[in-house]
Amino acid sequence: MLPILGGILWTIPLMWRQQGEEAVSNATALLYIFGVWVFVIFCTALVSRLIEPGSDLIEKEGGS
Amino acid sequence: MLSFNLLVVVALAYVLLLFLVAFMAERRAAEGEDGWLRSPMIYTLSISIYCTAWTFYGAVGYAARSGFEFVTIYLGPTLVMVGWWWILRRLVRIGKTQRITSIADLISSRFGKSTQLGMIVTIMAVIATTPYIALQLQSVTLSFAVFADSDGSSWSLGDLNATAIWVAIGLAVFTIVFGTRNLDANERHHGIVIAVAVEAVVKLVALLAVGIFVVWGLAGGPSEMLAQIEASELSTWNQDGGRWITLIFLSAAAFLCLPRMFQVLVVENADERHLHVASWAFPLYLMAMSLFVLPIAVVGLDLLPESANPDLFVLTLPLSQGQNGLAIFSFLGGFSSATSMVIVSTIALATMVSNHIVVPIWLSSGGNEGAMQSGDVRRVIVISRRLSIAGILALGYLYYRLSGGGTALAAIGLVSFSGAVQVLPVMLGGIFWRGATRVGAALGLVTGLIVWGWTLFLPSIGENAVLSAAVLLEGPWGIAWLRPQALFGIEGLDPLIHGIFWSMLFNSAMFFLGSVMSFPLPLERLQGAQFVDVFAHSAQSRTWTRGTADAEDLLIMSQRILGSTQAQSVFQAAAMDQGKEGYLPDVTPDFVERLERELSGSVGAATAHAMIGQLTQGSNVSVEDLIAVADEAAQILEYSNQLEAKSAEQERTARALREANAKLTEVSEQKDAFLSQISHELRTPMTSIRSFSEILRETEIGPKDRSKYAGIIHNEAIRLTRLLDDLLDLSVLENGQVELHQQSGSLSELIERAIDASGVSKKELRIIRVNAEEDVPLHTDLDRLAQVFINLITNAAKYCDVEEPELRISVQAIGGGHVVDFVDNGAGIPRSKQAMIFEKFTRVSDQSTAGGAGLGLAICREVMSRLGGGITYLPGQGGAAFRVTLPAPQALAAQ
Repeated sequence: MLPILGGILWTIPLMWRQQGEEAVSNATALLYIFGVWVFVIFCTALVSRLIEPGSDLIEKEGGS
Repeated sequence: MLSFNLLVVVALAYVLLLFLVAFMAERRAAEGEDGWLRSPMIYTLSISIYCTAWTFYGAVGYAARSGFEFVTIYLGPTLVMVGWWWILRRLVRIGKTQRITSIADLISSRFGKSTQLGMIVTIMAVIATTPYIALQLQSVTLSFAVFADSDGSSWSLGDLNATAIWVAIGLAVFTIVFGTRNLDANERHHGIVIAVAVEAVVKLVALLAVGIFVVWGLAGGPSEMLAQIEASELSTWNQDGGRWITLIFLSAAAFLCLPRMFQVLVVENADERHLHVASWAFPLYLMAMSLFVLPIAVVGLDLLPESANPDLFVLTLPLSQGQNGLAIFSFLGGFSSATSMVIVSTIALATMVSNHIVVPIWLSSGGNEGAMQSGDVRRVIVISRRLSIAGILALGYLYYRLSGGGTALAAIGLVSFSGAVQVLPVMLGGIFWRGATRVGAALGLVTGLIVWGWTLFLPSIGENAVLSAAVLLEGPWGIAWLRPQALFGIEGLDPLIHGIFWSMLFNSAMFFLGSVMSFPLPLERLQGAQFVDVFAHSAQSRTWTRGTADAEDLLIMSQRILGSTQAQSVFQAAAMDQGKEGYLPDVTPDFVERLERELSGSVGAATAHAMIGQLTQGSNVSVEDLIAVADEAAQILEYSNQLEAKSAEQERTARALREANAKLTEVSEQKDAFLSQISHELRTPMTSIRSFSEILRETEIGPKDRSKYAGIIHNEAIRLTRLLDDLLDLSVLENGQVELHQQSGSLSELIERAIDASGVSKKELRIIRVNAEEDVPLHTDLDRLAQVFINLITNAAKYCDVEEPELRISVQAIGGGHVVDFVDNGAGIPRSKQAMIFEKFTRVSDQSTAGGAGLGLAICREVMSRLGGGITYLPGQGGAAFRVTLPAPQALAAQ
């Protein structure tokens, strides 16, 4: 699931306003993108830790 | 200002350090202490060759030109790593079970071990990687030029080209030294991996150092930095959605498809569990690499003159602030990223070129029919790899010269990425879709290659280099809808999106249509099932069912590919698993399968399959196997696999018992035969002694006859004594009552002595000595050892049945000890007798004329085992061949 979640979170910036007064500044974009990045890395580390002991058991649910 | 010469010295010292590190790693790995070489962290760091000089220099330039777009290049791989469970785990598992050596091998192996597909993928990979290598050369050259400028001397184009050529030569040397050392199973290169890991650390730390210097040293802290970004010309978010998504997709796909990424991700992977760590550690690495890119770009735009090349901000920014140390460090970072990428890429490509282009051509051009020497295929492969490494670097240099070195770094990188990505549909289709066929794969790949070449690659070389400006504007021969950057008249698209869109569309469509409309071969179905269901049947299914090949022929062939030592150890291990001694296991389907995997680790699946196919002949996929492919049968197969595993053990025991029984029966038969033989042997001299002594006693005879009869009696008595001596010797040896007289001496003298003592004349037997390693000091019972040698030499003289008998004596160092091989050019010993020759009372031929009682080799074996060494029959050498393993030094110490 994580790649999909990450993919969605990273395409959100495309919907931001790009012109005019209310345009989002790149400083905010920087914080947002790297924030998502840290979040995704954290989740993956967590998931990997959870899977580690019995990889084969989880195989059955692997598709979810 | 910074001296340019100092920079050159630093760069050379750094290269020397890398050589040293790589060399030490190879040494440690050779000694078996490679535990730390296989840690997940090393694996993660080696993946970081994804970050090339393009990342190091180009990302900042990219950010300065188009804002946030640079980050897409890292988001793609992050998504792939985060989703490792789906694709990467599958690829790594397939790579392990099928012994995949490269991405071309993966595709060729999946689609029925097809040679043609391997060639297509290889050619595509070479074309797509060439611009990338050119890019690395360019970046190193430019960074040298920056320092030369700051030193006061401005560089001409000639200087740049000279630098590029020296860098290319240096890289070729390093790669050849460490990359073609061994073509061992699974193609792991410890020296290279560790050097790449070191470079990964250097480039990360260097970029972070520059970043920290910029944020805290120049901008005054994170919040001031953010404020400065707000104020800069890059202040607002204006990102084109199409490019954003296309680039994320492109980088994710390239991460999987680039030959060098496949090499480090799949081929050099030592343990599947390393993915667990890499899945979060590598995204972290990527994030750290890109964290300071935007700040450096913003500050660079702010502080440096407008004419400055943003691609080189990482270097010029510290230089302009007088931070020479930092600048050198950052230069080393860029240097590292360029070199590590080039090294791994060229290795991956050279493996592909040699396995999928050179060897198939060599085999089909009749190289296979020439002299069959052990290791000759291996030599061809190693030479072709070395030449390909040099050739690929030369191509990169050529592209660099052609493109004029002017294009922005990021643009070249993207063209190269999109070329590599053409493999993606076939690769994913291959591992997820059973219906994919080789016709579809070939169609898809070729179509993708053509569209990519036309829309992206050729235009990238530069206007008027290959395509003229007119062709770009109006299409070839004025056909407007074929314009490279506006196919079918659809204009206004970004050239990159345009090229990727059309090439991927046509590629996937042709792949799909071709697969649906063609029918797969049996082997393709089988491989397809194994790839798609790699987790379901991790156990190998059989592709060889009938073992019609002779083990000796297989050994001869394997020796040609693996070299004699390694091939012999593979066969010996297999024989041992089957509970047999010696070098020749039974040719079971399991064994052939195992051998094929072993060979494909060296020469690729297609070649290995073809070479074994030549020997086994006939069909290799049976009806049962095809049934096993069907879904319904998969469960039955699983169950029968379990049963099989259980019965395998029993079968082994049974086989060992059967063999022991056969041996016993034969020994007992031999013994009976011998008893009658020995009584015959004893009786013949006895009879003549008795009758002649009777004549002497009873009859009056002349002195001449008397001495003649006495002579006969004497000779017969000697013959009897010799026979009894042998029997006594053997029984003493067998009972372990023998006393050994330890002496010191040298092996070459001992062999000399044995040859003299054997009394064999040059006419009877020509002895050829391979003197290379004979200079071995010995401390053992030299008389006994000489006895063994003499026996082997006289045996060769007696039994070698050709016109001009020859005996080759060669000494080799194997596994810490030494062995002496005695190989003659006769007919050899038939397989059926090989197991028996060391038993007592055995004679291979029935010629009693030879005069032995069949005790010689039995005595040899007993002597060698008393001395702590051994003697075995070595099959597959062209004649009768015996290998004497000299006693190991520690065995001597223990005595």
